[in-house]
Amino acid sequence: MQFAETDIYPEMDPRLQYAANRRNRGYTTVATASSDADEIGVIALVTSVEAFAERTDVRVGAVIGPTDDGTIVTARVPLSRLERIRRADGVVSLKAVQPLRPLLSATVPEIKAAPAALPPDSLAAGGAGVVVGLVDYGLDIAHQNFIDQTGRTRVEAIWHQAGPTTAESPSGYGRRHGRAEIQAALTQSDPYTALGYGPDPDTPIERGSHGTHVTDIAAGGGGGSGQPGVAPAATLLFVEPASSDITWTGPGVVYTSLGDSGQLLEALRFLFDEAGDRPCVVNYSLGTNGGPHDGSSLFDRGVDSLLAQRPNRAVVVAASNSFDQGIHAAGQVPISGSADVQWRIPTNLAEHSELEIWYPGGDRLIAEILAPDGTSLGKVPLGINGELTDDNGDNGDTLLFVAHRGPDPVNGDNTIVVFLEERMPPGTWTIRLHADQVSSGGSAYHAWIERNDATQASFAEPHDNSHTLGSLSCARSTIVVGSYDAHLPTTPLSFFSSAGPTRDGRQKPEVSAPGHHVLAAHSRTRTGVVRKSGTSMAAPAVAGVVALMLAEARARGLDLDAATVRQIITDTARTNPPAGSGWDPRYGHGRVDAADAVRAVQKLAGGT
Amino acid sequence: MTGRKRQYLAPGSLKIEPGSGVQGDLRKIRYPASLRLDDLVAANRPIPVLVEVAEPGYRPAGLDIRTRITDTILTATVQPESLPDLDRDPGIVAVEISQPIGMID
Repeated sequence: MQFAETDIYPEMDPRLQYAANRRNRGYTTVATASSDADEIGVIALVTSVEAFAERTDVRVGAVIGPTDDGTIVTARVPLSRLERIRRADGVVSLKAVQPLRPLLSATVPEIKAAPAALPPDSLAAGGAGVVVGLVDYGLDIAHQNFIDQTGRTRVEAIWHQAGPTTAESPSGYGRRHGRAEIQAALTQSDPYTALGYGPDPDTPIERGSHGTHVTDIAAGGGGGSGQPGVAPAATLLFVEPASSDITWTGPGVVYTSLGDSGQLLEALRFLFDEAGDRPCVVNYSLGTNGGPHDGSSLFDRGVDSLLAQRPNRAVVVAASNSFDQGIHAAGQVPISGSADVQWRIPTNLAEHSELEIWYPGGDRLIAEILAPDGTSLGKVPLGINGELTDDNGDNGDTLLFVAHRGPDPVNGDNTIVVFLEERMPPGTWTIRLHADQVSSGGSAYHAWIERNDATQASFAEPHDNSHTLGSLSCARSTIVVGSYDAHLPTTPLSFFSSAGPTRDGRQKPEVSAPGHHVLAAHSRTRTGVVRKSGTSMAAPAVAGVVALMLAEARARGLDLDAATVRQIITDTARTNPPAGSGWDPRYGHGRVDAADAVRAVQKLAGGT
Repeated sequence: MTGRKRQYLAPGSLKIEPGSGVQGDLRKIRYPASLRLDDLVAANRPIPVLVEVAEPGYRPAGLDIRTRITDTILTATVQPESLPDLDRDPGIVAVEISQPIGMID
């Protein structure tokens, strides 16, 4: 046993230090009635309640009252933000504590999607006649928000990709459950067993399934919770991806995968095929950190092609929640010099970490790897691999692997990937990029650290938090959505909401929507709601708005192609915030406005 | 999470060598650079891929096609030893090994 110092802020409440330390070691908190997993209750003494409440990483519960030094409030905060909040201006004291009252959902009124907020002559009818397709995990068919007033399911089909394969399986795998089968299951005491599909029960870590929550935001009917979603009359289709069947071996096993990009593309094909001639908007919240981020992947091009095949289709995607994680770095390698990419590996890394660097194919760099103590392990030129094994020979397990390859077959760029096994020393590793053959302006590079939900590595501060969109959020024709907090009057950005642009400079996210502390359907409760936060909660609000637009267009005999849908969404977005009239890297073109979007469709159709 | 202090290994020197085997030769195949294609070849199990073909309807040999996403983009599985054949096939524009994905909360 050995006592070791930590780098946790020592002025913080010891219980909070302990919580921060446990988080750094890969533990999480347990979700409770008032808090989400990875959150902790605190009592804060602050000089300004308003300023404290304005922070998007703070959820104020109750204002207790004034003292000589400030005002005492209770709040919930993410474990990952404890130290930053404690050090923030105006925070005099922060102590661990206790439950809070829940907040009310504010999505539908804030984005002006309530029927009363839409134009009086709107024919959107809650999205009737439009299909909302979702690729997500855990749809609860028995939640009353997905059952209409006559007792019939609003779910037309579910493709459970991990279900048993039948002769009719889409793409040759999984199981399709149709409306009649779903309806029959609903008559049973245990509809999930009857159907052979259902959301997982709550766990101490996760309360409520993601897919039930997301579907409710986009198109829940409100029959159970009393709060309809944005397009409550739309028809629902759902795909639950299977775990990836990629045979990952060696250092490639860097992901805990919930599916793969091919399965997601097959899901989109399935949803559009099932929708047929009907207008259809698809929503997904999937991705990782790595990848070219330039729309060049076959996945991105496949999505763009699907959208171009026929009008009245749209795809809405969550931006990602990586803004404050320090997972992106960028810079220039000068023509005859070098640039350092500093990669911070935390102590007790739960699993290996992977870093990916992209730079122009016309340049040649040399990647030198330096250990935290400054020792150079070697230099890896373009077209060369480097490997370190635990026996320093050919038969040991890989500890560190560097692949430097190019040009990429699709976009022509070069890539450097460094894989680091968890047995390697923690601290700041350096990837020193030396110019080998670099154009006169220098070689511009972008680097990303792959996702690791247990112990996320980061680049050294100061962080460049631009370009933090997810790997599947960069297709050209999709609508990518950031998150803000609709419970606060200033609608500030969510601290986690990722920033654009894409690596090739396109303006994504397109728009933003409420994604903070959103109360929506709680699976396996039939009528209950649960609170979740994330750009996953913002994207379905926009998907619902698109459903209203497509319904309005359909009722007026107007076809909308994907580019027009996207243009209307961005043109009608509200500002202040964001400040000014231009594109903002996190709000996009602004906050989505359902009423103005529907109005724009009416105008396009020749109405007033 | 054993609570025991982890023993870290002292870094040595990298073994530097050209990309070899399947990995060193492929030009049209996009894959995570850390993915060891030679390991996949050794494992001899089918790999899910996205494929772009030059002509609509073209059906490359060696692919078990799952879905035609569009006229020219399809999903398929391929035995690892067939990757070099796909790489040489002039009817194929690019092959992308499916990327594992996670949930954005």
